Amino acid sequence: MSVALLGRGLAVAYGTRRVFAGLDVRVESGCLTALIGPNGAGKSSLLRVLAGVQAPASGVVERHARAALIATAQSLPPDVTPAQLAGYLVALRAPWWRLHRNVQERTAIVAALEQTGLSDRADDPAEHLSTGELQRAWIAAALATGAGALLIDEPTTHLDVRYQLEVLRVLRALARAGHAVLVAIHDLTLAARFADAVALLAGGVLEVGAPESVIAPQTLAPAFGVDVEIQRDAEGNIICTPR
Amino acid sequence: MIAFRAGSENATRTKVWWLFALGALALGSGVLSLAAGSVGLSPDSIVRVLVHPSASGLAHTLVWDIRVPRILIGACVGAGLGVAGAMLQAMFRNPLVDPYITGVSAGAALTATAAIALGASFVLVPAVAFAGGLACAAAVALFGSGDLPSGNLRLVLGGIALSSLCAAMVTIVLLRSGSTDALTILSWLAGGISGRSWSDFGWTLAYLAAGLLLTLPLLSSLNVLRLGVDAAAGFGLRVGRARLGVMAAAALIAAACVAVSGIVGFVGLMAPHGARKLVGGDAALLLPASALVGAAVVIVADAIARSILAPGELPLGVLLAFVGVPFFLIIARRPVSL
Repeated sequence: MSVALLGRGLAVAYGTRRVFAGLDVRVESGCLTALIGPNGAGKSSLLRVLAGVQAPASGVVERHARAALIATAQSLPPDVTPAQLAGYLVALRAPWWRLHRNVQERTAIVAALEQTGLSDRADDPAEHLSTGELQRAWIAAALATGAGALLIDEPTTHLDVRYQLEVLRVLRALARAGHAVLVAIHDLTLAARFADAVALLAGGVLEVGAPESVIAPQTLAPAFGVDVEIQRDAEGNIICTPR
Repeated sequence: MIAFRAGSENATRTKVWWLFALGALALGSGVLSLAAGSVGLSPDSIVRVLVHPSASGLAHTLVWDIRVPRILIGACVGAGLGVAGAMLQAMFRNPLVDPYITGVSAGAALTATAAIALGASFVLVPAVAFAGGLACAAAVALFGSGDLPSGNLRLVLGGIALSSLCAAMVTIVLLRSGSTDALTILSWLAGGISGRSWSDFGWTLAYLAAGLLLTLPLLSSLNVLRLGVDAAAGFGLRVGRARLGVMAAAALIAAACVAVSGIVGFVGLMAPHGARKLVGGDAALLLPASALVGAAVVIVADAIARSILAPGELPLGVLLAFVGVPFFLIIARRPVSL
């Protein structure tokens, strides 16, 4: 597995409040990583710093792949279609005098919409799309721009259980296809089920490991201040219940 | 502009046809308004003057030296305000924004007022107004620059605050100037394009062209800014720079319009809405469509303004307010897509 994004000694502070400092992060290609942690621990800040949207107070980020950041519940103007969305974002990287997308760009957009299961909805305006389809439209747009690292803040927020599964399945498939995928997520059971690795950010410390080692009572209890019970379902998936 | 199914390729083609239709509308209203004015001209005399541009006579002077430049300036003002309004509405994601939110009109009004009160020659007033408008817009842009996503709100608040300050200073100048100066100032502020000449058209066009050239490289940024600041930044747009570019281009265009015509309100607000209904929100289509709608609106409004009280004239800005205010109230009540 190759490294897509590498953060070294990252620190973020807002005014005098230090969120985290000296954080080392590796985001690997071909891997779906779930970023968990209590509210205010700095998950969104870490994603923003890794994407280059926010400058860290100190530290550096090496980007071996282009990163795209999708914020929480990102909306779309009602008339914009998934195909147009991808077209607009692809156009950012094209020379400004070329108003129409060329064959390669069109092929990339078509492929991205297919990978996210949006081919049938490609020309439907956002006002007719479900929340899950909107989320996938943003993912498709990121793919079409050739982003190798997808950083997604709470992709399952506001989604019902069916769309949550749908989005996470798409993201897992993208990781399998070689993308680096890092999602901030609150649902620990879903994180354990879909992620290849889990990163717990709490109290300014990042702990990374396999889902079963991080999603465990002895790590979660101090981080969230809540006791959890870990069970396995019939297929061996982790179920995490707070007590 | 990308479409997936054949049906949507047709939709794009329909939108392009709308552009041609709007162009024809603007051109048509320009030609028809040649007949409007305090001196009535018959259609055949207008045609005769138009085909023989080197002839002389009253009709010739009226058409070539007064009405044609006036209509062309009207087209420039309408097109400029339409484009600037469409750009700023997309950037702020706010359908109630107009080009004057940049502080352009307030700054221009202040410097123009001061120039008139100080007895500057009338030729200088547009240049002074232009400088004032641009300076004010630059101040607002600097105030609103910097971090996401609060920048948008700060830009609007900065524009409003600076505009109020300028308005207060205009009042002081008005109160302290003599009655003749005050009248001149008031009629300039009321907005209008009467008595403008070919040279006014020349420099208006030059500034407008500069602003429009500045706009072209911003089209793709505008489409992405419309998606929201977070999304734009997340996909690698340098938001601060793009926003400054949009502000600069819009301010340049709006300042040229204010300098030649005073405060012509509501066109920059209305034209983009009309255009958006026809061609949608893609900047590559919306900006030209807004320009054409704006040009047609100003040409028609100016024709009405100069014939409704003939031989006198109603200020263009006043006439547009009568149409614009009800329109503004309607959009403010309805959810409008951007």
